[in-house]
Amino acid sequence: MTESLDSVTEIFNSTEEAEFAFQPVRDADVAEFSDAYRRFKRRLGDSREHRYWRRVLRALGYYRFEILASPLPFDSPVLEPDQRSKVLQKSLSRLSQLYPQQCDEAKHLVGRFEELIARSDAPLLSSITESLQEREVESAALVVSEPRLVDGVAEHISISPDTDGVTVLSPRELVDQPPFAEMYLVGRMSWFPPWIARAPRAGRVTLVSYAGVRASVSPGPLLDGEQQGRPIAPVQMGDDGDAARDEAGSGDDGDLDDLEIRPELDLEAIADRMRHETTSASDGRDSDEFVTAQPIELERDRVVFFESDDSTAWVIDLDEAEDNRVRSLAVEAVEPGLYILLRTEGGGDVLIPIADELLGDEAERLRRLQEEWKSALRDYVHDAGLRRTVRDLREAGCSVASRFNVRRWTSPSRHVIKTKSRRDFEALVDIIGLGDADEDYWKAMVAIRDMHLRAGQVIRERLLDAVTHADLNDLSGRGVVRFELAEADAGQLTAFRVRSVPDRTVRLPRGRLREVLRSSIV
Amino acid sequence: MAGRTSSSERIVLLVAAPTRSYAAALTAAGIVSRASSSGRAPDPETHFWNVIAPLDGDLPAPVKVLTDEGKIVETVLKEIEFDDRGGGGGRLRARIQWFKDQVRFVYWDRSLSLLPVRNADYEERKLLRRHSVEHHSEFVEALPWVESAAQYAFRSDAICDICGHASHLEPSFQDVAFALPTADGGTARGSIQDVVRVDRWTGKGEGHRARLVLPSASVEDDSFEQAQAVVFNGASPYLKLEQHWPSSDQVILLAHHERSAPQVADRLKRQLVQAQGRVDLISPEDVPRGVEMMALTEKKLND
Repeated sequence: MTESLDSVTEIFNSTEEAEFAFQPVRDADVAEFSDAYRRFKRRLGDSREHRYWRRVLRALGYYRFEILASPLPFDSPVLEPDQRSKVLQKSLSRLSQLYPQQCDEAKHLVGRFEELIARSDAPLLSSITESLQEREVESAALVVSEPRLVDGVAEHISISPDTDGVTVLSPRELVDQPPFAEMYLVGRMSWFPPWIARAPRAGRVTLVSYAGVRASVSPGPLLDGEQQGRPIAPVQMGDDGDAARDEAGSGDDGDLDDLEIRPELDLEAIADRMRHETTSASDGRDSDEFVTAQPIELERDRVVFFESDDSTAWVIDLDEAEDNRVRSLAVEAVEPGLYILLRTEGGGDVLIPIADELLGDEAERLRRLQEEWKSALRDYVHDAGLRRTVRDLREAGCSVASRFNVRRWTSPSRHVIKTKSRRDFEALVDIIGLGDADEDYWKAMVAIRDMHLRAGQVIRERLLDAVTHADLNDLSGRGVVRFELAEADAGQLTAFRVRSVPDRTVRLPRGRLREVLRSSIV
Repeated sequence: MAGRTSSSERIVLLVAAPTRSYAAALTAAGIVSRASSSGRAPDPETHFWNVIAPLDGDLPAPVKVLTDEGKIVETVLKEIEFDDRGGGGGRLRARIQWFKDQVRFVYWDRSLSLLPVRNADYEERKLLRRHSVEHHSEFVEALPWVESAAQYAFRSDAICDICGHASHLEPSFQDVAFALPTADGGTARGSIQDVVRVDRWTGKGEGHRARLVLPSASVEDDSFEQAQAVVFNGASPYLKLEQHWPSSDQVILLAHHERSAPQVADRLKRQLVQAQGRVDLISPEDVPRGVEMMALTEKKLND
């Protein structure tokens, strides 16, 4: 995007003149809760890695992070207090039997949490409002580091006349805005991208956070600083400045600040849940359908897994020109800041009708052949039992025979078409009595498979067409945007901004790959 | 940057700023202006012997001609010959194909209006094409190194390559009016494109001083000739194509908020360790707040 010369001048002027201020907010309940959380976590030691405690700490940790990172009221539904409370109460019900030694302290911590969520005030927002009035600011930006919380904050402040003229934005949205006279950042400086301090888009930047949060951490220059103009360093402003500086990062027990307040992605918990759900649903599947999966953490509290090594993903790169922004990329090359396109609704359902449409007059005959071999195999399993069917298939030369695969082959799903290799398929149709016509069945299944692939391409082309014609600038702000296809019920793609690509893999059922999951509450 | 390095060295300059808007256009304008104003304008005799006469072994050859009316005609040079009419040993002239089976002569002292066209696959019968050129521009002629706007638009020089997306760059080159003082005390309006003459946005047959290289371009083949300097508009074009300018001076323009800006900065910092040294192109006090710069000199890689 090319701004006007006047806008560019404004941008440089605001950077030139920018001053930083720190506005600490004191709240005894927040301090007590945060301190209790930190002490408890420290006291748990290695036990914090137990599944039970991970669940408890996740519920509390995310809430703690979000009240520090947003100016929302403590009981705001955006912070999901009720859901978290439910998780905690359920956990506490087993606490005295499981961990009697930690019982009192855990109950104390959850008690502080319950006290907070009973409050409907918003100290950070009150502090911002006071500052706006005191400084007679008519328009300002309120920047929230977590894109997931931006809409909730915007909705909340829209009901108050005290915040008229305040625009709630995520950091990335600032790029497309003319500079503001005033900008309020909520939370900790290190939660914001470094460029916000290197090239501020406001004449005055005020960091608003609870006293005790390490606020004054300034990112270094992009280069080495020897040839900088004047250094950019946040300054402490206001009566509480010195006190806040003393508190920030002191390492005393009164310090709110952990090394990283935002809880880390709990991949093991997510993988555990997926494995549990999958095996429960399938009544004990074979492990050979588990694959090594690369997680990708997405904006808006989401995570997705791709098969390691050979997967590709469709991505949008906003640093590219408009005609070159959408491309396919190896998953190993995906990096934070890119937007990844994922099918989030309806895509699977639309494939069969489109494939049948492409098969034309042949569709009926081919689908009948597909159903014939699946039905014959179902009959065989009914008579012989699952275990013996697997054994018979293996003896007949079907090397991929397993309980899971036999269940899959006998499922009514039209997406299950054939085995990968012809030899395995021949063995399969042979034992179910259709061996004489194995060539016909194989050719028919290959034709169906080809049309499924083609149908997938058609869907993708339509989706990409929708992406191309969408306003991609929407993406830049909230970290997520949905693309609807023109055809009704034809599927939905969602583009999520990649937040991180963890340096580890997990084992997952193949069927759960590319599924978008909530990452915080599992 | 011109004049700062020896012929075996080049300068690599990284600039990170709050926004990249106009940076590539203004940088290219500076590079072209400096190179154009420091270079000597060719005289007709030198041009004839260095550029036109060497075509003699490959005639007929495609050429373009700038007419007195400010038209550019793409045609064919048939022969270089003596016109011995009038005595005095005769005058060298180029005989060129003209319209309707006519021929026309360009004498050596007018040879600046004749330029070879690099087109190995030309077809003579298809070559007679006529294009118009802006032969009078107060703005261009207000540039101190330009004598004739028509000549400025006619000639090409590989001064600067600009690597970036056309849609990002075009408005800053074409759409914004700038003014220059004229000799009569007035002002003339024009665009950065009038000065830089990026090939993508020049008229047919017209010359250029800069080329636009898209990040998606294939510049793998050996025939790609580097310009004296290259300007990368953003981290992504730099990371994709930087290796294709191993001996040109490089200017890398970044916006602080670019996703890959830290990656480029890290690369340059590593490059600095291997480099000849660091140079201060401008005094740190003159660098605006929010702008970061680093310049280094290093050996040209394929010298």
